[in-house]
Amino acid sequence: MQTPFPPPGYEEIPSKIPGITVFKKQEVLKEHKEVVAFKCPNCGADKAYSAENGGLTCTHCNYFEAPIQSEVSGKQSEEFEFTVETLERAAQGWGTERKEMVCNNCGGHTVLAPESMAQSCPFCHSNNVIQQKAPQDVLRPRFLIPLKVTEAMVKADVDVWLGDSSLLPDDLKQLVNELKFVPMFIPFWTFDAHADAAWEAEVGRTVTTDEGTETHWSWESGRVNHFFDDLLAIGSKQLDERLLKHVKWFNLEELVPYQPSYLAGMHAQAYEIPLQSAWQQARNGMRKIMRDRCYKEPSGRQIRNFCMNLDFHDESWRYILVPYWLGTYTYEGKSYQVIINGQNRKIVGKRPANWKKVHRRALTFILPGLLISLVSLLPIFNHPDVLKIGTIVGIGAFIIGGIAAAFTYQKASKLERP
Amino acid sequence: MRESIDSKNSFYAGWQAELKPYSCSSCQGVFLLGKGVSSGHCPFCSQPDLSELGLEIFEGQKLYTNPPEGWAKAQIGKKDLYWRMGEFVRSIPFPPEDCQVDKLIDRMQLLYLPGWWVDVDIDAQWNAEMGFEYEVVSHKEKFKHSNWTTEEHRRTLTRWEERIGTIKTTFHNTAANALEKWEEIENAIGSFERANEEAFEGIFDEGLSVQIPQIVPKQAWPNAEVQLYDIALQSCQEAAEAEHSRLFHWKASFTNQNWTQVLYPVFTTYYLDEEGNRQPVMIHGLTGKIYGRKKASLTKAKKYQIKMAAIILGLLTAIGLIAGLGKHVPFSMLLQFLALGAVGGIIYIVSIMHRAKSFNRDQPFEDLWGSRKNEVKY
Repeated sequence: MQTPFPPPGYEEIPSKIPGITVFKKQEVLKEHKEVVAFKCPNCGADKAYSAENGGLTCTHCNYFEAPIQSEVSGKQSEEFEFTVETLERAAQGWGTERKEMVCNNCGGHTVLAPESMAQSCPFCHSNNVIQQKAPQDVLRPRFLIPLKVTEAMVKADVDVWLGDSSLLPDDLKQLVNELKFVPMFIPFWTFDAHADAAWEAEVGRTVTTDEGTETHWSWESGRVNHFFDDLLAIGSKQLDERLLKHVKWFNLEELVPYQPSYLAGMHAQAYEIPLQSAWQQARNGMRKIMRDRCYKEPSGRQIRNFCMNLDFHDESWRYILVPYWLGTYTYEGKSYQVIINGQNRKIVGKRPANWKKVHRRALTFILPGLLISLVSLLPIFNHPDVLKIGTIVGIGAFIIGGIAAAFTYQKASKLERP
Repeated sequence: MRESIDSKNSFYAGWQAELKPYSCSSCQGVFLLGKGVSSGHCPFCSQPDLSELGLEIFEGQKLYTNPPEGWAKAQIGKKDLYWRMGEFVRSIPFPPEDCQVDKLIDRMQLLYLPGWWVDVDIDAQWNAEMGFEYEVVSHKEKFKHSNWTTEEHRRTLTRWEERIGTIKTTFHNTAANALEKWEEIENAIGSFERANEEAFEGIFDEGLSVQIPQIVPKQAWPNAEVQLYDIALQSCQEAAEAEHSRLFHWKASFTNQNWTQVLYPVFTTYYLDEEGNRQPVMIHGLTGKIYGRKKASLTKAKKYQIKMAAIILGLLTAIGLIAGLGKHVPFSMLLQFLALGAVGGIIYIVSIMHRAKSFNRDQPFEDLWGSRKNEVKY
């Protein structure tokens, strides 16, 4: 029996020559739903993703849906090249086509930020995942790190974090404990690249002669190669970069293919920093690393006229979503952001220092030394030895106290600027 | 088929001419010569090994004597032939005495060589990997005087994708060899295209000669099939709008084969080298590209050596006498000059023969005209 032609799974494409037909493999196109709602089949309430077990849990009747059977793609997750077409499309951004969402549950209208991907209806709090059409298929998020940290873990971590410094205000703990932390998926770009650097520099060697010391300069050159694997660059403008660098690390071996279920009940954001800007940022970091590596190569430490040529090749990128728990609180009129890594529970945030406590402590360190020095000067101790010993001990204690006070001030500053 | 060919039945109705079949034992070619053509030597390889065939059978096979459907008339004029022959002769250092433009032109013959073209209907399924080029952006960075400069550049890469399809069309004008040495002929003087032909109206000039196809259509089909594969590959690549292709496979059936014989003109001639061997020369009848065996004459080179030796010796003697008698130049200096001159002269004289010998030795091996029998190997 003759096999049919074309075989299943192929679609015809236009041919430039009459009499010749051309077929290609059909692309598996997933049905694109602009809005995906998560309703409990039991009671009709909303389902949300559960970090505890990876499934969907009903917020009302505790109905449980088993976890998504998703194969972990890890660092083997598909990467893309910097094609001219992709860079042009990525620069277009998300456009302003959709700005309004009508809730399927209550009919409420919400104005969406163009980059918003998952949002609860502000009227009925039903969980919706909005899947806006990306400027190009490769520019939709294809992978994410599932949320692993539960709300209970967040509360426990915050509690510990607030107790780890005695310089904090006493009423702060209560305020933060009442704070609501929100799980949110933040867009990141990952970059791979081979970097080949050729450097050249004049290296000086100091030589001692009869006339004195002189420096002989000679040219040296070399090559350094390095492969940058999955360098992360943030795609969002919403988070404080100074805070983010402390919680930026993620184990990318846990990357899984994107499914809207992972976002149910959470906020998610599409990229605001376009691919080209993020790549520029990542390249700046790579340049610095390569320069530092090359700078270590010359045989001496006296270096001048250092120059290098750096070539990148086999560059590739990925667009992923990573989970964080975010909270913001206000204390004495100032806003403080707290960020918790949704995979490894690392926590970072600004905390206000109790400066009265800080000053008191610093004084406690400095005063003893000062007092000893002053006491040794009292006329009742009119003895050269006592004066000598007293002054030495007093100055020593003052110096030690001063160092301790400096440490205290530094610790207090770090609370507000980690 | 004629049982015998003689003066009574040498008229070929299809050619509207009196022709006789001849075979050459040197190049194995079979020819139809018009009655105005000399049968003293082979019109292809120029060797005196031509013999008349009494029957229309050669090596157990019936001769294919059908007239062609088309032919391309020679486009090279006499002036052009003279010029090209002159170039050929000048390209040989110390050409043999017989290698002169006038003699080469006098001996020149116009010979028609056959080629096959086939039209065929194809019904095929094909599959291949097609390569599509795309550009990626890459960066080069330079660090100098504490500043970075970035240079963006683009590289072209190829993305390979599977494609399959069908072919249901007629491929026209696929070439197939009618002569066993056709590829060697095209390598030597260039290919023949179908652009210049006209319909053969059935009148063949009896002053001309034609080589009969050694490969008939049935035997030529495998060669045509190879050409068809290449054409199909190119066509499918073009249909898929790809820049490259690989791993092309097809399952094809061929019907309605329509074979066309076309004759192409070449000019052939020869010269005798110093051993008396005939060295053939061929010119493409449409483009004028020339190809021939080149043999430098060592005898001529030797004569030239003696002549130059005499001149150099004479010159040195004259200079020596003039300088010596005039007594303006010190004796030692004169001696040095004469010694240098003698050494230089010897080197030049020796190089003359070396040039001739190495020219002959460096000639590329070719088998266009059959084996080089009766020749001295250098």
